[in-house]
Amino acid sequence: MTTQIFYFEAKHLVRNYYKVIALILFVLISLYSIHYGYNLYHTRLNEIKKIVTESENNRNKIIKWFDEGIKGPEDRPWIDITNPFWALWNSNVYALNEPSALMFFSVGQAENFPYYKKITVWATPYDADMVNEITNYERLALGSIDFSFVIIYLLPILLLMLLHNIGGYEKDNRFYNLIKIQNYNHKKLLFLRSLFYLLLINLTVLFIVFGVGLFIGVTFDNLTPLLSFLIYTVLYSVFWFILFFLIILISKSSSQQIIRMVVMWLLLCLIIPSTVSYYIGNKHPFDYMSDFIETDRKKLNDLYEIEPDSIKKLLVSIYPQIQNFPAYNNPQNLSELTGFSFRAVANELLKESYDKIIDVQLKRNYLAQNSYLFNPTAFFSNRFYSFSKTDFLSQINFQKEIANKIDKMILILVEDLWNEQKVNKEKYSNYINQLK
Amino acid sequence: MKSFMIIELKRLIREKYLFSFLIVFIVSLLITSYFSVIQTNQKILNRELITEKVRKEWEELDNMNPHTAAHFGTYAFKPITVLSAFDEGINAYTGNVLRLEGHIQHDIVHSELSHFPLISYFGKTTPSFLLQYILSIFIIFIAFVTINGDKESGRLKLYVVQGAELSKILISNVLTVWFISILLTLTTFSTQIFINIKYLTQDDLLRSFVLLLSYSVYYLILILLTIYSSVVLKSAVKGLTLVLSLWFLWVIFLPRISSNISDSIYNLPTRNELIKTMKAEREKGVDGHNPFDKKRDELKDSLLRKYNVNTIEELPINFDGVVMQADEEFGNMVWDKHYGNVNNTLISQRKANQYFNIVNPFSSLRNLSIGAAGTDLLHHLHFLKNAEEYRRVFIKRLNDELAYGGSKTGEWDWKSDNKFFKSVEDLKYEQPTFSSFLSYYLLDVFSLIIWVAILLFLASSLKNKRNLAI
Repeated sequence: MTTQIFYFEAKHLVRNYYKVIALILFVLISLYSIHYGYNLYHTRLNEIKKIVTESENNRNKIIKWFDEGIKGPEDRPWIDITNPFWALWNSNVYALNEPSALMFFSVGQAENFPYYKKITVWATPYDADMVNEITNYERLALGSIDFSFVIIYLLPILLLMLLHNIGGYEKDNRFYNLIKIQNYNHKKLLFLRSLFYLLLINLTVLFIVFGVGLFIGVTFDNLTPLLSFLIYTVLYSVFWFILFFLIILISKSSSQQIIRMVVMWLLLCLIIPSTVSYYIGNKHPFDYMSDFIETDRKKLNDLYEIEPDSIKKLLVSIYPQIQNFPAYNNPQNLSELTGFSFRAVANELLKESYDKIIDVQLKRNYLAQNSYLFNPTAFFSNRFYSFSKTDFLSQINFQKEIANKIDKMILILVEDLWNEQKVNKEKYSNYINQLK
Repeated sequence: MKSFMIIELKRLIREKYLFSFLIVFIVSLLITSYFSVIQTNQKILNRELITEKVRKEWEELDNMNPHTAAHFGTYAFKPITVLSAFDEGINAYTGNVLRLEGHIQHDIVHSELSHFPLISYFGKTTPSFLLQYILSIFIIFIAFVTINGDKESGRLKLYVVQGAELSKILISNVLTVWFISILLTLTTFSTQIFINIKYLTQDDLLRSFVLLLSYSVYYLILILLTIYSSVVLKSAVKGLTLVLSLWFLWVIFLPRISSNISDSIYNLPTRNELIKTMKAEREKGVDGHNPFDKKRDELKDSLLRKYNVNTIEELPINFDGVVMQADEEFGNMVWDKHYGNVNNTLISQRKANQYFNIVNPFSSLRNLSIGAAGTDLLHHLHFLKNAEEYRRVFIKRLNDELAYGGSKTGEWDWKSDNKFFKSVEDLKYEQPTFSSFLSYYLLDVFSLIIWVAILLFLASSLKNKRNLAI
């Protein structure tokens, strides 16, 4: 019986030109969306490759200076690369947020965030260069059509287009009761007819993901995220299928079915997510980074006024190990030493303020996660973003990685400065390896 | 026509679920409008507080070298318009904090969205969100229910048989639904105006009027389209499906696809590429912080000639301040060239998008909505331009103080007093008037008018057709 129903439903589908058009449109938009993700992925990868090549070239230039006994550029005689500060200053190390291959399918929030950051002892994860690519904000505000957008917003619309008259047509023409009398289980009939479309959509999605994936040569080191992406897609489609099937069961005409389905789509895809977004903005509003601005400007300026001895004391409270280093008890040039390691003290102050920012960001994310129970589209979309590492948490992790690299660089600087270390080619390479 | 309208209105009120949806919608609009205004006013207050704090820190500066003060710098915070409570536009995506200091033009950073998880692709619940997405669907449904009710019950046929003109009946249907949509739109604006009456300027009122007009025209398009397709097509459900498909096409696909296409026609450079090119060009100019820079010599010679002295130590002014300003001016030139190109590309993308929008009235409405609310790209670029102009005046004032304020070359310990720092004015940004930007939105206005004209023509041509699906 199932095969027969599927066969007749297939015939019905072919005769309904607008359903076929809707399906073709869905496939075309999916292909377009994957193309969008593909472009973004390759643009980022190429940009990262360029940055890596440039920084390697710059490092090779420094290594050549070590070989030739040159201390720095001719027109900047104060630079001495044998000093840990200048060696690290010229280390050309970057924190890179390399795109995942799954970005083909889910761009998520990636376009709102930076994906590379030059690490220096003066850097922070909230510097003015921590900004997204140059872009048209009006385009960004519209949101990009990536495959996860297609799944989250358009898959339910396609399902709606395919299911809107199942049962409704019969009710409109008043022969549904006839079916009820003739068929031992009319609900099963409606279910199987609807199931045909669910299977059709999922097969289409599978075909798109694997077919296009193979065609454009997607290679996955790890298949787990891709499989998870597909499993969640199936779950999401089943979720909408259940909702729409219930609407089919309780509606009395096809126009009532359409109206109810559209209202459901509006509620779950637009109203609830935007209300949650509004609530989070109200609960933890954006505060113009006032703490960070004050620290970065006023407090650091006050710190410049402090005498070298006081800086030394502050430094020891952060890095007590330097008390055992030769320069601590017998500094050759205390003001130069404290000047070079000044940023270590500043970094502690800045860390206090940006830790607070990260804390608030995590609170916002926690609130968003708490809404998942009644906000299923946000749940599924954030799952998709997390598989492609383009979600908010991935960005916070990138900021933390930047902060860790800065801390590591500063630790090397302070220890080697106060340990009166001179940098040579090996030590410079060692710095790079530690910071990579 | 008036009696037709009254009959239709009474009938719609009798449709229980439509009427209850209408009430729920009005309450939602009132609540959303109220909370949006409160939230926006809170944002305006926060911005004022941080601006005052930053200014206070500047005014408290005492005995500081002017060039150190140029690095201490200041901040400009992106202004929030009163009408952003209605439509947030691109505000959540653009940065809000712009650091203004010597030698460098920073990017505006810390967008709201870089600090928030993405929950909704369509933004927060604001009145514009309700009017653009929810009310437009609701309007389609009401128009559908109105015409479908007349068709299914046979009333439409009866009216025509009795001698009523079909176009008149349809226009009365259109006007009835349009009246409801205008009423709902007015509810939003009157709430906003009522709460914000003391903050609204004449320009804000003009902008509100443009918003009201744009939304009304857009709804008229939707109503005409729904009623026309429901009458022309045999099955009213097919008419509804067609209009809903068009709505999805306009709202979901076309805006994104057209903006991606205009992006690929007018390419923007990558940030890394731009910075590298600018850095290379800037190195051709004077480096204010490098006393060993050979490019200073020309400047030095001209000054020595001007003051008729042999060494820079003999100069009555501080040569370092002059070099800093020369460095600044060269940097400004490089920035103008490259960021000028970026801004021109952005404007070209926007214009290309507007041409695509002729087939998509939703995008035209959206452009007018964010434009009139002062939250579009044009207003953003206007602010950035003004902030940069201010930065130049601000830094020049500090460089001039270093050069001509009484210090001699090499006196880096020389300091200006608090009185001087207090005398340096803060950025006073004024939002442009809507009329000064009007020319940028003419294409969008044109697109909406064209749609209304075509649909009115189609609707009026119905009277001549005998074979209608009624």
